[in-house]
Order: sequence, then C-alpha cells, then structure tokens
Amino acid sequence: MSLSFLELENLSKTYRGNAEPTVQGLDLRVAEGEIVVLLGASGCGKTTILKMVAGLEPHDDGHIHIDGELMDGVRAEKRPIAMVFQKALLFRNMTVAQNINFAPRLNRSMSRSELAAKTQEMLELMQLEGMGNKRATQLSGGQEQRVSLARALMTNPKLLLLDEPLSALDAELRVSMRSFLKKLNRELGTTMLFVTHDQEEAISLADKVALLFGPSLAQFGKPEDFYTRPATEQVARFFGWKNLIAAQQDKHGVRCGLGSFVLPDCAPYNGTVTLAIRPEAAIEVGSGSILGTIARAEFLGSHILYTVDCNGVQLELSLSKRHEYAPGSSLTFNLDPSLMWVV
Amino acid sequence: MKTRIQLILSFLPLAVLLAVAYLWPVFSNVRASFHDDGGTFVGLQNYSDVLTSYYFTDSLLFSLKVSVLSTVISMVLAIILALALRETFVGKKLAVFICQYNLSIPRMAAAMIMLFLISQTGWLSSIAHWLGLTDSAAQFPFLAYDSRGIGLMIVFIWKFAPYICMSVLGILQGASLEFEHQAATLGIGKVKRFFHIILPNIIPATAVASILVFAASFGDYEVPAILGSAQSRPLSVMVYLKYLDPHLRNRPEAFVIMVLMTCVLMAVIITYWLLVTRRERGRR
Repeated sequence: MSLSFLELENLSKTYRGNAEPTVQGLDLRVAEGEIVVLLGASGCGKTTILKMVAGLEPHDDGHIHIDGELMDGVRAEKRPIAMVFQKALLFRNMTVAQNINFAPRLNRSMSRSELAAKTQEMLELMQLEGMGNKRATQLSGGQEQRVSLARALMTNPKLLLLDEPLSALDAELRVSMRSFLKKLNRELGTTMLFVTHDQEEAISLADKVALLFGPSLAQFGKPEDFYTRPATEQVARFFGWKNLIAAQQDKHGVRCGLGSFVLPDCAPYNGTVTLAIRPEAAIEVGSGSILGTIARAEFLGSHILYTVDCNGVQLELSLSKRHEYAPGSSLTFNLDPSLMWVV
Repeated sequence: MKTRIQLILSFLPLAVLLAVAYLWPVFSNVRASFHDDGGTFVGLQNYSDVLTSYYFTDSLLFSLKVSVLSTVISMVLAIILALALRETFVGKKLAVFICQYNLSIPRMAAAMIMLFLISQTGWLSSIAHWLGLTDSAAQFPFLAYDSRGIGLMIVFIWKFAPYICMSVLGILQGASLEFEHQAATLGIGKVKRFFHIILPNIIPATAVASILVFAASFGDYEVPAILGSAQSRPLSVMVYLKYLDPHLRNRPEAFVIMVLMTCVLMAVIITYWLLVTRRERGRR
C-alpha cells in the first residue's frame, strides 16, 4: 500500500500571452490516502493545477511537495505520481495486458514473472479477468478507462492524478465507476487528486473538495461543509443556497425581514451580513410563525419548489409533495437554524 | 438517397480529368517506349538498349543516391526541427512561417539561390575568404556542379525538410503530445518516449511526406539542370537529353527511362503500402 501526501504552497501560473493568472497563490494540503476533488467550472485552472503537480506544466511561483519531497523542477517521469486523463489514451497497437504493464515493461522495473503476476492482479482488481489478450480497440468506454487506471496503478504511485476520467462515460457507468474508484481508494490507500466540473461527482467521491473560482481557491473542506457552511456568497450559490438575504448580526443572533435567528455555529460578528438559507430549511409547515404567500410553484418530481413572499422577502423553499399549495394561498412555517448560515 | 447512376455521374468529371491528364500521357509514354522513332513496334529492344547502355546504371545510381540521401536527411532534420518548433520560444511564429513559406519557393529559384550561396564564387565562399578561412575562391569546397551531387542534395533538403516538418509538427502538437504526457506520468523517460511514443505516431505521416519528397527529388529536372555536374547526370536530365538528341533514333530511350523511373516510384509506393497493410493487419 502506498502512503503519501501532497502540499501545494502559494502555487501560481500565468500562461504566456495571458494577462490574467490561471492559478494564483494556491495553498492546498492533501493527507495520505485521501481523495481530494478539484471542483470548478471549465477554464478555472483545475487541469493546470493537476499538470503542475504532474510536472507536465512548470509553475511560475510557489512550491509543490509530494511525500515531503520538493518537486519544483523535477521532471514528470521522476515524480512519484501517475495520471489518468479524460481520454483513456490506450496504445492501439497493444493488447489490454500490454497496455497495463506498459511502464514497468519499458522501464524493466519488474522481472517477467513479477510482471505477469502483477498484470493478472490488476486485471482482477479492475474486473477485467480474461481480457488481457484482447486488443485495446475491442473495449467499451468504461473498460478503456479501467485499463487506463490499471496502467497508472501498475507503477505504484504515491499520488494518483485523475483529470475528469469519467466525463466521457454515460451517466450509469459514471456512477458505477465512482463507486469503483472509492473502493480502490479504500483497498489500496492511494492518495488521489481528482478533477471534475460535476458537483454531484465531486460530492459523492471526495473526502475533501477544493472549490475553485477563477485562479484562486474559494473553499476547501469536507463535502458537507459546502452544504452547511459555505465560505462566500459565490460558494453558497454554487452549492444551491438559493436564498441570500441581507441581515444584521450582533451578539444575540441574526435579524432579517423574516425574524431573529440564533445560529450558534456562526462566528461572532457585529454588522451587516448575508444570511444564506437552504431551500430545504422550512420546518413546521402549516404551524410555524413565519407567514408567507405562495407566488409560484414548480413541480420537480420528488418535491415542489415554492417561491414564497414573506412580507417583502422572497424565499425559495423546497417542500415535499405532502404540502401542496396553490399560488396565492398562504403558508406558515419556521426555519431550521442548522440549514442557515451567515456568509 | 442517390441512385447508382447519379453516383457514377458525379464521379465522371474526376474520372475524365484523371484519364486525360494522367492515364493517357502515361499510356502514350509506355506505348512510345515499345516503338522506334518511326513508330514501328520493336518489343523490348529499346529497354535492352537502355539497360545495357554505358550511362543508365551510373545515372540510376546517382539519381537514387541523391534522392535517397536527400529524403533520409530531410526526414531526420524535419523531425528535429518539428520537435524544436513544438516548444514555446520567442520567434516561434516567424520560424513556422519561414517553414511554411519555404514550400512556395519554386525549385528553380531555390537552385539559383543555392548557386549564389554555395558556389565557389558565392556568398559563403566570399565570407570564408573575408574571415581568412580560405586564400582564394578555389579553396572553397566544390559544392555546386560537383559530381557527388552535394549541391543538389543541399537544395532538396533545404526545400523539403520544412515540408516534412510541417506534416510532423501537426501530429506532435496533437495526439502525440497527449500520449507523451501519459507516458511521462507513467515514469517513461525522454529517450524511451521518443522511440515508443513519438516515432510510432509520426512514422505514417513522415513516410507519406518522405515518399513525396523522394518522388520529387528523384524526378526533378530543374535543380540538376542548374546545379548538376556534366560527369554525373540524374535520370531526369538524361530523359531530356535523349528526347532532344539530334539523332531521333535515340528518342525512344527517353520514353524507356521515363517508364523505368515511374516503375521505381511505383515500387516505392507499393512497398510502403504493403508494409502499412501488414502492420494494420497485425494490429487487428
């Protein structure tokens, strides 16, 4: 089992001809055996970060440490990493087994018997038993990506870098591959840095998520933190906090047009703040103290999204189908403080 | 959906063009090679005359030497140049432009430029004299009009290496780069990446471009006409001389040489095609 960790320290990169930096002052620490997901929109620099860690792209400033070793200026082939790309990039002229043992075979880092045994082990691990002699061209998309993953794991990397490896797969396969990756992580303990633009994928896979907006890190933490403690309004919006209301905070709590709330987990502050309320925050529906009028109702399958006008404050509330209200009707409810946060 | 007749009709203009501009001249040439200057069918007599002549073997070997060496050296230089042009550096756009622009220079002009550059009274000779490297123009190496064909090869390489380079560069910047990155992150070093990733990726495009370069240098007339030596004449010059020979009975030899040149080129193309087919079959 490989143990490792990654530390990015004030990492920056500006591409030639670009006025704006692609990555700026990035600090990130990944513990041994963790899956950290770099999440962000296209073009926010996620892949650049991965390439800098891999040594495929030089960084302008900052430092990269892998397992305590400074990696600045170290060539990609000398780093204790392996990378899986968006495309499987299998060698078409080789069999599945030859693809899997490509690196140790070329580098002669294993004896023949060792190579055969390890290749077989990888085939079993990837649930590709009996496919070793198949041509790479005969595989399905999911099988190709598993071969690519096996090829990377054959090198016993301390750190596995994954650049949107599931984005080319269909929805069902993506879900099963996510579980497969988590299982691999648990079994092998390999530290993984995973890039995606898919929020659901990030949340389901990550031990920690690094959310990037533009060249900087917006928030780094456990997936549930993004749903309970967003760092900024932008993060809150990105993670579906639909209600962002101007409020006043003091030592007694937070006051806004909906009333006063005590949010014990929020840092003390005196002044104007933005109160973020999740759409699922409505409780005691039909018996609460907040009164609103339904302005709009949108049926979303498992629930109904209501736009509620509460004395001039517009709220979007997600209620189960048990609570059906017609537009124009009145609604009373309370708000669950655990689904409210000050940003 | 197009009917069969519509498909045939849409292909017809191209078929007519191919027949008139390519097949008919080739056919006429082959036919003429089996007849004497009076139009009488002589069978393989003209071929026998050419193949047993004092000049043909020397001329063929000289043509092959110049074109093979030009092609191989162009290919090697093109790969080195493409690997360099792939990197980011100041003046890269200009360097790529020069490579692209080089293609549009007529070979006649290229030969003239090289004549001014490498002949014993050319610029390089003058610079060597000015630097004190030579005492007189005669001491400068005999590169133009030389019997070894060095001047010809310099022109062909200068003309064709950038052409092959452009074919290779497209691949190096695209698919090859992704596979190289993949290999690098698997711990494969530069030299192994070159032989196991870059070469297999660029060989098909390089081979096609090189065949064109071989064909162009093997059949070229302008460059040897300007820079060539009277002692070593390539087949293309021999064709011209035989065709214009005042003794009209020598003219069919020109047709024979042209047919033999075509055969050499066809042999190269067929060999390449067989190699590719066998490789593809091996992959399946």
